[in-house]
Amino acid sequence: MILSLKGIKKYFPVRSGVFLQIIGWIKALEETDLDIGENQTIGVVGESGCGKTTLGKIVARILQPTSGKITFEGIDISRKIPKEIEKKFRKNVQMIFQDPFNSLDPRMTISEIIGEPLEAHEIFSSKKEQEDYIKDLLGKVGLSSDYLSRYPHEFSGGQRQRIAIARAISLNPKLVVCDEPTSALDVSVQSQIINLLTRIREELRISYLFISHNLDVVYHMSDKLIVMYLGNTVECGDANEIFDNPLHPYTRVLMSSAPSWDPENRKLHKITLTGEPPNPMNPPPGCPFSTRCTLKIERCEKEKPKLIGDEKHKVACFLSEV
Amino acid sequence: MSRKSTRSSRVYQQFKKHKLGVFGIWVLVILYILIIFADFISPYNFKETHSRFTYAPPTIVRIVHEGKLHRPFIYGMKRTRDPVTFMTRYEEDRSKVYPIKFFVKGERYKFWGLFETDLHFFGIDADPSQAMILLFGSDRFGRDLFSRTLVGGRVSLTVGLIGTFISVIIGAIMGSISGYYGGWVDVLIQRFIELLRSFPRIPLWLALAVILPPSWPSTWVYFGIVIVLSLIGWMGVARVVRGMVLSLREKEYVLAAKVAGVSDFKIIRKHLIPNIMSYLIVVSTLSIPGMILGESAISFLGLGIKEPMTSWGLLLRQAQSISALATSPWLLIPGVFIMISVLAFNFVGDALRDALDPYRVVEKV
Amino acid sequence: MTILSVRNLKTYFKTFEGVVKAVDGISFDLKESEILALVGESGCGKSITALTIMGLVKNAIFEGSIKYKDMELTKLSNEEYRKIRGKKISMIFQEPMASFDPLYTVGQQMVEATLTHLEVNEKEARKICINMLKKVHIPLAEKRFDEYPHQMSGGMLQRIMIAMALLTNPDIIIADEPTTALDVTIQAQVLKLFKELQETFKTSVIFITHDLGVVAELADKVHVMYAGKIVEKARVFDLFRNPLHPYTEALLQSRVKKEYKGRPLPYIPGTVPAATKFPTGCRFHPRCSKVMPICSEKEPPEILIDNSSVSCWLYFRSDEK
Repeated sequence: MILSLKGIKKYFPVRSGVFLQIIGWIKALEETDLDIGENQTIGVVGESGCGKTTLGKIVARILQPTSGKITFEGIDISRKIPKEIEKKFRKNVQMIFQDPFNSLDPRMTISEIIGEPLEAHEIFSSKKEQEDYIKDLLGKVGLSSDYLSRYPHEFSGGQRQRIAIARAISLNPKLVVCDEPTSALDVSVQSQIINLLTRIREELRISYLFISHNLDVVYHMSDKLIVMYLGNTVECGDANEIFDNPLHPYTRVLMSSAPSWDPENRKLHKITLTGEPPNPMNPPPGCPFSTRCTLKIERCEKEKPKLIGDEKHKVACFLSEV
Repeated sequence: MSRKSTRSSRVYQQFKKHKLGVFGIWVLVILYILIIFADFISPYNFKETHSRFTYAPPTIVRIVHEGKLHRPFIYGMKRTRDPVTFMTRYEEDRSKVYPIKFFVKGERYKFWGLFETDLHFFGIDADPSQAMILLFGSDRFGRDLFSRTLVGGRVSLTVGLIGTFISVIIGAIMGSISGYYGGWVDVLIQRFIELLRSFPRIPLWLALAVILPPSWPSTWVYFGIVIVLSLIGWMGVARVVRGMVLSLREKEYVLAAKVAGVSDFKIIRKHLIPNIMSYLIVVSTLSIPGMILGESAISFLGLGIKEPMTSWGLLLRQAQSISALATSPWLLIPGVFIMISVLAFNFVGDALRDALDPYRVVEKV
Repeated sequence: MTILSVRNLKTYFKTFEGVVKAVDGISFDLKESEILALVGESGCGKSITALTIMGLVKNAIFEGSIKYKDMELTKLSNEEYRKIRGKKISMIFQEPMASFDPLYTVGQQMVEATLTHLEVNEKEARKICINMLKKVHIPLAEKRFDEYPHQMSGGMLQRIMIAMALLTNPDIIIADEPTTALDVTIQAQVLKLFKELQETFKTSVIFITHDLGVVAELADKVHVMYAGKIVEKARVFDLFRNPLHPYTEALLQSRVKKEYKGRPLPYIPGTVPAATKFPTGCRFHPRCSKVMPICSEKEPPEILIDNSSVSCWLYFRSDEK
């Protein structure tokens, strides 16, 4: 086990007034468990505001959880940790961001960008060694080593994402958090990046936490899947199992809302879902999906269903309890 | 490499398009050359009084003498007293011709306080007790206003530079801390800034300037003024820098550096500062005029630079009384210099803002 | 009946890096009450085409003709254009948040648009607008009418955008990626609504998107754009059943399908070319899997096949010439 999250919650304060008093909380993430094993890809899928990016940032230690416990290779890292452990963690957990136009500093060359983590951890003693290593990395992500002294603005979105990938794998991490790594890219380039990520996973035997709003992409990448809605895990388990046999009404809605790609079998007219996700500052008391669910029963509005089932497939819905 | 060069060449191209900005640059270059070599260029020692030439009007440089072309020269000046009002009057004495010469020997002065010399860039071959070349006229003590304006510019134009430099540094540091760490540090700094900014500016300057002991030598007073000005000037910078850092902090490349294990200090130095640099350059240029005006105001009110040292504000102080103004309007010439330099800095600042990636600044401010 | 006819339209921009041929000679016809999808990746010129038709592109070099009914739009003065824009041709933008002024209520902005184009007083305008809000299924329309844009979600704003576009009962709506910024479940709802309303109002639509899935759900006709040119025009059924241009084919294959799991996805190599340096000949040839020697030398002609047309040398037969 590389990383294990137990009962993680993240509430963001909403402040207002002269002294910025807290007037409420955005409940971005509620009681979430997550185990990431070696060379395993966990997919997280959900719509904007469902807490998937917050989860990714907590895993990458960009955000501190409000409560809950995180263990990294057996060490508790939920609170302040000593420098050496922090360093070890940083070396092993990296992140790739959604927007490759924002994730590379426009004022740095490619070699400076990829070299930044290497220098922070003092991996190489000589500039020459480091440069050779970076050239090697560029080759690995399918870029020419002539690009070393160029600047990000000279590259297309797909190429920039390759550079970001090279930076993320430069320290040979065990886990890479991929936050929507393909959604800002052109359709024709998306598949290239997905293929690259898959190849790197095989070569380096690393794990991914793969976050996306696109169910098809997440399914393609993942061994295990987490479906999130309004800060809650509503369904999780084996990717194939969930895809073939979705239990939660929301998962089903998510699957059926995707366009058909077949003009002879249009499905727009079949769509019955209405409404939008509730405000995370003020979530419904019962099941988070109860405000939009077409199958809801009385209990759903009062009581929050627990995530139940076996390791292969868990779901939080009263309808599947029976 | 290629990017840096294309970027700077683009900035250069953009800047060149801004005609007023280019004009401003030239004006500033000339002004600074003038003040750097002020005591060499000025024909007289700015401290020297000349009792024969009190409140003398500007001398006119001529090239025609008795209907014939002549090398540039001036006529001598005859001092008379109005029999009715007893006012001193100056008349040209057309019989005496003093050709203007370059590299003449004149009053002694210490160049940059380093070595003593009596070489002046231009002047006339005559003892100041007999005839003087007074391009801007003279003051109550018969001191050459041209020389005094040049030397006074030293204070006025450097107060702006040094003051802005200090205030931008303070502002950038406070703003970065406020924005990067957030939380109660941010609240504290922001409220403090609001508090300071809620005082009216001029009384605050005066209050701070009064603290400077009157016994201080002029150089100390000078630095005192710089510090007073920058203590008040940093707040605007801090606010904007905070805003920029706040947005930069969430930029994914900053997060990426964090995830990579880069230290906070290095993140600020390598990612934040370079990305707000262009803004800082613009804001510095635009806040220099405020500093120049501030120093003028303090000195004008008699709380700044003290005699015999001088500054444009202090020179204007002599033009405070209506009677002096009515009889000797040339005393306002230092004010023209304030205007010119303030406008020039504003033009350059505007041009820089347009040239240095306009969207970024507009977007983030 | 053809309502909008675009012929050899070119929109070029002069920039620091050189001339950007954003739209480089495209022609198409839009028929009455038809949904025409313009599909392509970023930088293919689809949005610039829309803005050019709306007369919203400034500082560019134009060529060609845009004919709305019998009116030549390229010859209109600003004043005349303003009368057409918003009244006869309206537009829906990608970012609903950016399309509303945050300082005014949604209602004020709707009323303003109504008063500009319809001869009604303010009270009537209000009534029309609230009615329209009800038509786009805004719950509590009267209350929502007086709310500010930031009080609403993206999906809701996009529906209000649609309501605003329909206010004057225009002949044409140009929708530029109207659902791209929305979540899938919201997108599905908005698309459903859009289609319903289009059928009721019989409006002609130019629907701009990069998402072939959305195209399949919505469009009657599809034009595929690549690097400033239209490479294929077809009816939606034909396009999905039998794509002609290799680019269209590759786009259709780039969908992540379930059966690809555990295998590499099919992909188009290379990247979309920058608009300052388009390749010679067929602009897709460096990435094309069926490239021939002629592709890099000469631009392919538009070739008609049944009800479709395609610009590709694969379909060129010399005897036809």
